[in-house]
Amino acid sequence: MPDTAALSPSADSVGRPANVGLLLTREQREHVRSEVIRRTVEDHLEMVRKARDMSLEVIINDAVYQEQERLRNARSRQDREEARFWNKVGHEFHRVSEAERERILERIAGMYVDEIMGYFNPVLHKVAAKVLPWGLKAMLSRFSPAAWLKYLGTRLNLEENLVISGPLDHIRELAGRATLIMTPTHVSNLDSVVIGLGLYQMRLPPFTYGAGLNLFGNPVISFFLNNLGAYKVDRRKKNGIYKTALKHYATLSMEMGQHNLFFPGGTRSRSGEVEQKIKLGLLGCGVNVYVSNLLAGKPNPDLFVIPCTVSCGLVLEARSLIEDFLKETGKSRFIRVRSDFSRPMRVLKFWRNLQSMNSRIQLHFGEPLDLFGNRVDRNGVSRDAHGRPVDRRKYVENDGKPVHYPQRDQEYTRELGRSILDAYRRNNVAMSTHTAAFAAFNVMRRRNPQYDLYRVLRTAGPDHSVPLRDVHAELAILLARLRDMESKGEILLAPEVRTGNATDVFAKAMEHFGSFHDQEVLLQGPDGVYTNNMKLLYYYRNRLDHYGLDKVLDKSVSEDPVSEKPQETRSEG
Amino acid sequence: METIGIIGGGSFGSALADMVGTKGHPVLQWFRTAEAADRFNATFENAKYLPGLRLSANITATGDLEKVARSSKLLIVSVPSQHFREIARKLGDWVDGGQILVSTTKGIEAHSFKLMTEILREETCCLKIGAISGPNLAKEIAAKKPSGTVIASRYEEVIQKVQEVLSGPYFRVYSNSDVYGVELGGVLKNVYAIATGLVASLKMGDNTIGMLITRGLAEMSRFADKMGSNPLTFLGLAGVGDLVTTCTSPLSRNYRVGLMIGQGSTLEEAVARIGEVAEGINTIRIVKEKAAQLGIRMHILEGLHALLFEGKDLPTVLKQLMNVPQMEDVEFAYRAGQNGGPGNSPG
Repeated sequence: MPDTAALSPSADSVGRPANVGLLLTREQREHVRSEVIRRTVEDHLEMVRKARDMSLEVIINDAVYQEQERLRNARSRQDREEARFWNKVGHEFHRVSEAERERILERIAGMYVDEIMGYFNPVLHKVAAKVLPWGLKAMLSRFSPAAWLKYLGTRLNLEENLVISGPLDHIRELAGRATLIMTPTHVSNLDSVVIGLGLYQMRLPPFTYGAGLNLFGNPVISFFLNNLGAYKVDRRKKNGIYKTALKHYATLSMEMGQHNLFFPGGTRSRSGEVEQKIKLGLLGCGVNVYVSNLLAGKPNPDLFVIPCTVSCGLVLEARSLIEDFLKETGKSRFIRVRSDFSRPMRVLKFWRNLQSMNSRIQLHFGEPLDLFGNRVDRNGVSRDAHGRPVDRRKYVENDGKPVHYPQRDQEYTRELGRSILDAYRRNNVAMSTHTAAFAAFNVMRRRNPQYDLYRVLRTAGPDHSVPLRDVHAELAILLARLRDMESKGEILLAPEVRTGNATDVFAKAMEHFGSFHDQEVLLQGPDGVYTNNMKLLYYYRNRLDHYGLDKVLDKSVSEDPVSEKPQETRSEG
Repeated sequence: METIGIIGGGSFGSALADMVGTKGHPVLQWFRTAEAADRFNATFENAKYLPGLRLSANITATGDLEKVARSSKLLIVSVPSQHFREIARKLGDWVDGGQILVSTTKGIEAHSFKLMTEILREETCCLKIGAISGPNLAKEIAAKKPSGTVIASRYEEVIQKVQEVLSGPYFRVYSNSDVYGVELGGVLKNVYAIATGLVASLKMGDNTIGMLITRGLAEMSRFADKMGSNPLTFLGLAGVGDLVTTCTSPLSRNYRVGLMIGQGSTLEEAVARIGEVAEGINTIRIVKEKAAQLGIRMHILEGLHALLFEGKDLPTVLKQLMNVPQMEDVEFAYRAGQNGGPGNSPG
């Protein structure tokens, strides 16, 4: 059982780490609720005090406007209830006094915090993690009795297909002496479930995390999320009151020593590439909490960040993600109504692949970082790039005392963001599907050098076949380059990519693609290799984007045209 | 008053030390050798770089880098770019994350294309880092002639501290958060100083010099824009301010190199006669390669490269330069105008 005593809401709640879980007593939940409301209101009052043209009326007006816009076509019961709430607020807030507006603000913040707060049951966490595959099986069977029958008696063995790597002992040790912030890359809606399972399997403590409200729409996933320590994040809500309440909820949970997990990319990678930018909002709570912990004299004031790279050979929602990406290019937002995630048979097929080793998910936990982007060793000592110890308190001290300084802390978080992105890049695992897609896409693109990307993406079918030997040769060069990069710590490779020759890697990728994306990604015909879905090929290829690999390949080809050297495909490996 | 640490006993380091010392701050200044430090302490004169000037009595020189590194919350690093990484790495042994590091060195590391603040970031644990750049000829500053500079940093604390310590009756310190742009301005202007020296030696006329400086500015800002900086940074002291000074002052080493080459010296002869580092020569090579990689048009720089390293003669290079396609004059304003920005507004 978690040490609930350590979660005492009072300012001296300093015991914590090792065995602190996510369980809050009713009193603690009430404390969190009232504290989030208090801080949210206080922030806005401060904003009003500082800015001449700002008032509570303007702040509430903005929230009412945005929420009413969002709820214009409210259909669900919940949405209709919310719409009624906002209509009521909309009628009230113009006519009342500033003191009354403060109370309206409290009500709004209260409604938001109630929505955000998750409920964590440690017993259920243990059970849920153990039976997770069965839980998913149940979810699937809800929609497909035939699938349920097929699965009956089949044991999903996720352990074999979920590879977990990284300095796990190191992380376990730090979990006992500091609050951890897990920051994974985001590929699929299944990530949070898979990571939750991975953490459990690796005997890491539970993490609380902000899961998108859309995930709670599925009753089974919702059941697990609610009980695996998730709180709700509704990305449709853009108003300042909501964002502030969310920030304070995360801050408070960190102050109480709860390990936190969030996806700093903010959303799943639509293009398939590893995150190139991250959002600093929630991450930025860390320094604030650290300074508060120091000021409160807590014995374990530290927060450490664990970048985690999720690499998937096949991605459940690949098709809808890349279409979103291409539709989004140049536009601000495009929300697909129906994605593969909402199609039970696709989920079933994906899970079956995972079970039959046709697919693999690798979670790589990176080296822990402090809030300033330095590596942290097993003993909790921060190290600079040359391994020299760093006294991290100095970053936040002024004349020997810790001080809050938002502008400084924002820059620190930017530095941390850079280190996280660097870790993502180095800990990305290149799999056969990514490498084969990269090589094939390159050969196909090179065939029509006059085409721009969008035109290339429209080419498909056997008429656009390229010689298999060209793809093999391209892949051989790519593999050699990737192995060199792995030896320098610039990327990670799946075992088959590390040791296989181009022919084998390509064959494996074809097999994997064929098992999930029927007749789509890579096919072989009489005239060579072709694709029926260039966008999907592009999606998988993008996982290796931003490593400068196209230049390496294009240079190799211009110096030594592959079409004239087919024999290279045999000698590689 | 708090002690300020200055790393480097060159002309600019000493000019700054004098400025800070004159304001009443104790200054601890690091010289490369203990002998040079002793000589300074005996005379308060930097006989090698600022001969004939008696500097502030608040300056204490030392050859002990650790002592300086641990002495102050603010350390100003003013050492030649070729030694910058080595000294930054040593500093990294002693500094802590609470200290502020500010570079005044205008240079670029050839093999990595790193600027000096990037090297400070890599070699130390410090994050509160900044760069000073502007039209700052050390001899004029030491002679207390009015001038100004830019302190560039992402950290308000750094900007406030440097403004507090350096600004005074004859020196103004402006701020900018575009660190990369400000540093790049200090690096790139040397290239155009060589070009202006060349043109000046040929007595082509003031129109030519005006065009050269302005088109040089266009190339600099185009390059900076591609590298992620704000091209408008080049309208400030660290851009046009430094460029105009360097391209017109006989005190500028790069300008003098250009002048000598125009008068018939070979590059080697000109460099030997100057006797000091003319950063612009290396910058031409480094930036030419980078611009080619990124596909950035830099005709003047390419012309200088052809002249100095590819054996082309001056008339050929000039002819080529006068025949490059004529583009819009102020391309960033033009772009803003296309997007409905101020560049398109009537009048």
